[in-house]
Amino acid sequence: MAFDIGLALLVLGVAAWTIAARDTFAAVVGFVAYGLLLALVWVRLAAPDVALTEAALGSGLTGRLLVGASTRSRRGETAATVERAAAVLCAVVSAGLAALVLLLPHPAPTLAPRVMENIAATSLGNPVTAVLMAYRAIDTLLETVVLLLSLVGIWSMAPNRFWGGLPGPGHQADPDSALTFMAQLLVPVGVLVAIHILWVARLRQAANFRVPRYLPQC
Amino acid sequence: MADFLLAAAAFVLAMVAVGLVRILRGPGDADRIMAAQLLGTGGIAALLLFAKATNAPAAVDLALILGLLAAFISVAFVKGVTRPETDDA
Amino acid sequence: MSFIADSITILAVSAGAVFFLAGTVGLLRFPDSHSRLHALTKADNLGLGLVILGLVFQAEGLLTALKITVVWLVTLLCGATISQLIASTARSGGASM
Repeated sequence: MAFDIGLALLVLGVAAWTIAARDTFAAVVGFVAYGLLLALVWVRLAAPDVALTEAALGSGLTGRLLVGASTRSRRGETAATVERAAAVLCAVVSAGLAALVLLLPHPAPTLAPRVMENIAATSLGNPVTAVLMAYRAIDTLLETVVLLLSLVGIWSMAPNRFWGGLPGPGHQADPDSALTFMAQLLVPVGVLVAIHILWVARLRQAANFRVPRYLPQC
Repeated sequence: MADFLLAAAAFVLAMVAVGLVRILRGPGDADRIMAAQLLGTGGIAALLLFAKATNAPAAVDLALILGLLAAFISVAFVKGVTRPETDDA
Repeated sequence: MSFIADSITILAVSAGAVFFLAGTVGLLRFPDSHSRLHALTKADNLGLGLVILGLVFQAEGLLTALKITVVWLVTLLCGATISQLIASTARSGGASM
């Protein structure tokens, strides 16, 4: 119990520091640390699948994108009005989300029982995997199509001076460097781990699908 | 045994939390990257201890992913620091 | 048998926690980036390694024990290369010298 309180305070502290940090790169490091801690919180809430997604996408991928953005914008300074507008927008969105969660009726409306009724048809054991890969498969495919179309649209409509050229390898890799060695070793390991996670997720039982039932019980 | 492992997990996390101060203070970028790396490793240790203490084998898989991610994130940070002018795909 | 396994686990996990403590103290107190990196790698390799050694004795199957060891090996490999990269970052001016 004390452990959970400590973890929650730590998450809040890191989040507060990330907002207040002066240097953009330091803020991105803080954001990645916040994402890793949030993954631990998800594990404590007995939702390891969400924790996996949070660690991989929320910290890893988003952190990578933010680092790229921060190095490009490091030399500029954002105007105070833009910062204030962003702060107000974030506060409004957070207040809206908090209101939604706190005003949920008891018991909260949930589709979890319907998911569990029909799960035998998908021949998958884990309800999270079933939702992501079977029930919402078309949804994910269409999201990818929308992203692709937006990318093509942005490329076509952007003014000439913003066009950076065809995307390609960002730099010439030195074949003897430590980075190349790690890349050569990590890619097979990564593929093996991905296959393992997919296999285990397929077989894992429904005990992990507690997140939608946890919030209404609070 | 479960209590001991849980206490060890809490201790490791407390250590890592203290190490986060280095992200706050670290006068250079390398120090911040190091603090994030410590958080990754400490998180892996805490997760494994958790998985055994609370009998949640899924956390071991998460620790595996976290290990790979920590490497990926650190590489992204290092690239972000040392090549600020090159356009990166 | 289980008493021996339990005592090995307690010893190894405690030793691992001590190394995490040492690594954190080093990260905070050492004067410049390179010595901090040295402290960090101790926490990485030895701290995590001892914790995992302790947990291997508690694992309920060969597969789990192997998986935990793979986690340590991956962290070892990545830690070694990342230390090289961080050190070169520190040397090329992104650190306090």
